[in-house]
Amino acid sequence: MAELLLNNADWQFKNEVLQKMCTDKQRLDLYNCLTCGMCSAGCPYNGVHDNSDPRLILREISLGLRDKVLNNKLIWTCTMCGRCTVECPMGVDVSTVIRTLRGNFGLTSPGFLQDVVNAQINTGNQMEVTKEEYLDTLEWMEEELQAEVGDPNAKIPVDKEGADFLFLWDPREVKYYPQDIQSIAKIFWYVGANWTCSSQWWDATHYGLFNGNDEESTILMKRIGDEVKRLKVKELVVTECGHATRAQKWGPKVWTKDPFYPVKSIIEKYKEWFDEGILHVDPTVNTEPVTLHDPCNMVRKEDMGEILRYVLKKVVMEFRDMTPSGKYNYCCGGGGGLLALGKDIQPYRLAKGKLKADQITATGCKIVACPCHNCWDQLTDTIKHFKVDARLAHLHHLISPALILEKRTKGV
Amino acid sequence: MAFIEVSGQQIEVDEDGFLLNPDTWTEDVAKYFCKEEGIDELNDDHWKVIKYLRDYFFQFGIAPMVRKLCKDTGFSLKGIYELFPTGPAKGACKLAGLPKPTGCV
Repeated sequence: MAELLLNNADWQFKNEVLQKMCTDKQRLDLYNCLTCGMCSAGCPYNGVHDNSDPRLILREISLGLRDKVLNNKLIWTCTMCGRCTVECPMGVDVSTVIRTLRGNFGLTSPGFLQDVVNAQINTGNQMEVTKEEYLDTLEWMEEELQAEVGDPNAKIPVDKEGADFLFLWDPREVKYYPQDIQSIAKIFWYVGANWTCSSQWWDATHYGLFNGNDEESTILMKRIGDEVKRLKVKELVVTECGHATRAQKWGPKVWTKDPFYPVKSIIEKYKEWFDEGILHVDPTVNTEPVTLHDPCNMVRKEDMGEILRYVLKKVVMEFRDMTPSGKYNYCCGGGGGLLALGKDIQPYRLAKGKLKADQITATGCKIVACPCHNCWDQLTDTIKHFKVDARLAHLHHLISPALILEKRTKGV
Repeated sequence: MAFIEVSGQQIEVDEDGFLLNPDTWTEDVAKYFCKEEGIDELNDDHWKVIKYLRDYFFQFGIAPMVRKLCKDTGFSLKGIYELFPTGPAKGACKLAGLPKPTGCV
């Protein structure tokens, strides 16, 4: 070890990591690292697969072992879920350290992660949906919604200035799962929401959160901030997606330093509407027991565990938590952009998935509420691979069919 | 590298089981995939969708929007899901031998 230090140490390396770190926390926290190893004890994947030892990389950083750090595979096997930081006595934000390493030291990500970012930068959305295709899909789902609820005033408004909130979609809802648009718009119709979506920049997702490139992140975030201003809305609301919720809430603080505009997850809106007494759901439509997968970006990073449970308990007959749950829950195994990191990382993803498969099975639930598109894909792979007898549901999938139409009061 | 064996041929697939090269597709590949995508037997409607997806992909280099798929084949969204229970992205595109769509699918 002594020889290693003498030959390879770069004493400025730790400072360089700190300087490049993009965070709204105290970046000097990294100096408090005791290299005690509680992070590695807290990482659920320690012992599940190799390259799952956050303590090792933190020590390498502390010792200035630049080459070791930049070749440490943990940079790409880590889902940046933040479970390690829950156990850290000094509050070191390991996931931000990993993100900093990914994006600021000339590394190239495996898989197609960068392609996704490029698609977002170049076409405005990660699935390269054209404006015409996007608007056509919204129109189509508006017609379907009007037929479903029998109300020609059920709308999917586009570019409506002065609406109460601007709603951002996940491009896969637009491209592959348009029925989700109908399901969400039905809830907005039910509560009489004064909302709009953008014709320009409508993609909630943000893969700059995963590749760690702050310049690209800033470009993406600025577009959204500009739309909030152009459309003169009171707040921004993000579809059921974990990393998108995190990026849209965190981004204005760290990338654009935009004067504050309120950003909410759609889950928070469900709660508001329940509290206002305008959202009426019949839980007897959802009789089967339901468990919840806590998306890390929503629950550990944005503290939404209680809100998710509050909403779920109103819409299902029986809710069962998995063990552990809330901020102690395990990542799905596909976070941190791992779903886009290709074949080299896929075995790690599956190994991680086994923990979640066991958690789900232990609840005995056949329905897993999953308010995140990224987790959704990883859980789909997990359920298939480990032959788990369960299916997934976004919260809106449970709410929309259970709306009590006779009790609809707003907007009638 | 992962391979599947279809009618005596070794065909390369990616880590999620999608064909790496859509040119290596044959009708037997669709038949091979259908069981794991929840389809017992492929009928004329399935083939219509599969052929459409392949034609579109070779013309534009990308999978079509579901909107486009429904409009051009005449199937409703519900109809597509009845045909391909795992959905258009993971089910229909896979059977048609299209590469796995990049991005959050």
